Amino acid sequence: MKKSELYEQIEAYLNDTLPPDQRMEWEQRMAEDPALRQEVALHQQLKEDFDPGRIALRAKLRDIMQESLPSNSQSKSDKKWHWWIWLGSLLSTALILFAVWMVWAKEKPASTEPESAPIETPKIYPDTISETPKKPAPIAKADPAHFKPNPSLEAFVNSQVRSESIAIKVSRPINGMTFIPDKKGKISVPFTGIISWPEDHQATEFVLSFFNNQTTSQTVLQVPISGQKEGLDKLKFDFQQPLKLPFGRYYFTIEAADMGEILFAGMFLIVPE
Amino acid sequence: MTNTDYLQGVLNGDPIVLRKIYQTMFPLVAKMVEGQNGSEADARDIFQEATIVVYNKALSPDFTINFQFNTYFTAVCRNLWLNRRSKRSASDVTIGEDIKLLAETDDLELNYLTLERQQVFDDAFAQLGLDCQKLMRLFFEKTPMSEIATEMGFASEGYARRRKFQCKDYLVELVKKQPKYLELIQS
Repeated sequence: MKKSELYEQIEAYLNDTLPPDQRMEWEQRMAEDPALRQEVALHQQLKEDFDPGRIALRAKLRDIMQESLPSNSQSKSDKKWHWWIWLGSLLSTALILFAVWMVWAKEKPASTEPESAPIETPKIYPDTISETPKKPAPIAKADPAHFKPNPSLEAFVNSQVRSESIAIKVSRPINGMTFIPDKKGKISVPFTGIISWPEDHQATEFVLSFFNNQTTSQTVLQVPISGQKEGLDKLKFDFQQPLKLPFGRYYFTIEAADMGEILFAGMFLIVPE
Repeated sequence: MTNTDYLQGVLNGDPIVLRKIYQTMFPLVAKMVEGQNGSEADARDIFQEATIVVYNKALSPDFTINFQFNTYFTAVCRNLWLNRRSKRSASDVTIGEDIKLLAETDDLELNYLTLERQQVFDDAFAQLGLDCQKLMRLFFEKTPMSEIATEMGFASEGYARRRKFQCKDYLVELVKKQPKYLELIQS
């Protein structure tokens, strides 16, 4: 018997929906098989232990305790050090950015970014676009605050497991890739990869969302992923996404539209020329 | 605030009541635990479990506390902490007179096994992805598969069934990683 069938049988037995003859047969099997009895007891217990109120209460308590942690543990001398550490990180970030800029400035002549590429940003989901990308000022400067890593989004980028049923491989953009806007302040991010899903999963729409480093609750832009379907269960994609955004650290996620499940997350930087 | 206000507040997860309990009680719990070789993390665990004890008790409509809420909460914390310490070192336990007295009353009777089992379950559940948590909630609440499919935005009932199996199997594997869950069922 397949594990999924076993679970269905156990659930039917516990919900008392087995026909009488099957129920007798099932009880006979349980009487003879201690491992089966244990499995049934486990499923029964899971059902009894589920309490959404208690689970929500734990989450609220964790939040309340978390809120009060920094003020409890920070002494005056810690605060003084905190100031130095902050200044240090600011200087190191500035140095790193300067180094990145130097390297890219040297490599720029080899760049193949077409200046006349179509840069119309497709806004397929206008309702979700909550922030209009600002056009950088002529002498735009990079604000270090826009390059600060966002812990929640970094966690997605660093986590390897995305989905239990949908497999994804993204070969471009490489994580941490840097882009320099052209004269009009535009960049073009390459997206190449393949997504495969179970054959009985009929909804095959995937969404690419972009975030800045400020918030996870608002997307900068959302577009559907268009690509070439291979059979019923694969989608190959290879396209350039034009973007016009201020300098900073950006994140993107690829989600299955019907499940709201994040399949992949990555990060890239937009730095001054 | 009356004892009933506290019980109802915990039962409903009222953030104002929870914050008040935390602000009043946590410093006392931390002092007690840290004064007896415990860490701040132990104190946080004990505080959280004591609140869960209050929640479990408040689920019975006829439950009442025979003391001031703060006295009751402190006693629950002490008993939980003594139980934890007794597990760490069977020899090093001293029970104060007040605890002996309080422990004789019904409202302070604690079911440690249930608490431990609930903690394993809740930790495992929290590790599920958000869509799995939602799906399992609908499933445990006996929502019909067709409604689960609609609610989750799945293309078919068959797919909803398959996802339910995947999520449940993940939950089963997570609790099985904690061998004490099975022991706690049998005891």
